Amino acid sequence: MDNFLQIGLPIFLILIFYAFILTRKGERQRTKYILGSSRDWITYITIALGASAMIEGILDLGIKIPVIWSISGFVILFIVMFIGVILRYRAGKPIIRPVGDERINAIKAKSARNAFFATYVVFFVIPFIKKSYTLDATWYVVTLAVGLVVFFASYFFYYYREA
Amino acid sequence: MIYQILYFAAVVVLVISLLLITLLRKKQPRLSTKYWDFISIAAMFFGGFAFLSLLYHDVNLGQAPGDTITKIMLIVFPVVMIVFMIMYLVLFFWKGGINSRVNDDERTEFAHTKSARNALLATNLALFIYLLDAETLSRSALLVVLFCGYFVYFVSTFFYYYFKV
Repeated sequence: MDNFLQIGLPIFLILIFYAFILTRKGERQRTKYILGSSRDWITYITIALGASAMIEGILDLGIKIPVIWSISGFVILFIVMFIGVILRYRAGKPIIRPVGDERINAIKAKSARNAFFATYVVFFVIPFIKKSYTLDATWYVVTLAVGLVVFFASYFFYYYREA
Repeated sequence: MIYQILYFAAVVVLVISLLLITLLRKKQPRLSTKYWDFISIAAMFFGGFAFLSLLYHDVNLGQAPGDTITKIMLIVFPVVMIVFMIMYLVLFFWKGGINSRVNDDERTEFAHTKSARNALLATNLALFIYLLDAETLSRSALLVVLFCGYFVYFVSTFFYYYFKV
């Protein structure tokens, strides 16, 4: 039952979310812009892989996130997204917007570069601290977490401060 | 411990010295390095030192590296570096040089930035694959992870710098 709730509920909520959006007039056409080649897919895949590996590491560490926490977190995220969609719907604005241009792609690439730097610095420092050349779950979670934190911090910095 | 601290300090000093020498040379004004992406270059320095210390540490101690991957890497890494050097020279004289068709500008910086991004993708992908069925990354796995990042960085840099611009 717990597994069903953890996997089934998010899928169900996502389906409702996209069914609501894509049944609106014109939204489906706009998805062509969203899914087009102008997006920096490499960065997305990089972050997704990093996050997945980090979650694997957290599970390897034996840290169990209570089911109610993960479900409530997802439900809150869903409610926030849904409110955003409703507000745009009521304002008569398109829900799917073709956001992203070459500046946004440059910001993502620079953020990924900074994450790469942080990751490699951690790889460099680890043998000095651990005095061994193996990487246990704690250390690779730390390495990946540092990369992800630097990525998101850089992204917000470049997006809101530099631009 | 003291040797490790000295090694760490030496690496940092070497990197900073190279940076300062490059930037402060009289015949090489700041302008010519204006479009270098120093963050990705520094990342490659740190990654390179981590990789080399992983690869050659036991060899320097007189202990033969045990596993097959390390033995393969001991041959593959120098070969790949030589191939990259030859490629660089070929491309430099073919497409670069004094009458360069590829002058340094913002695109140069962006080529390095995108290469670093691709290298992070390779690193994370290798980590993800290894961690699917292992809870600890062995030394040889770490070697492969770092090598993937290094390899993709160089290939991407050549691709973006000489063929994409």
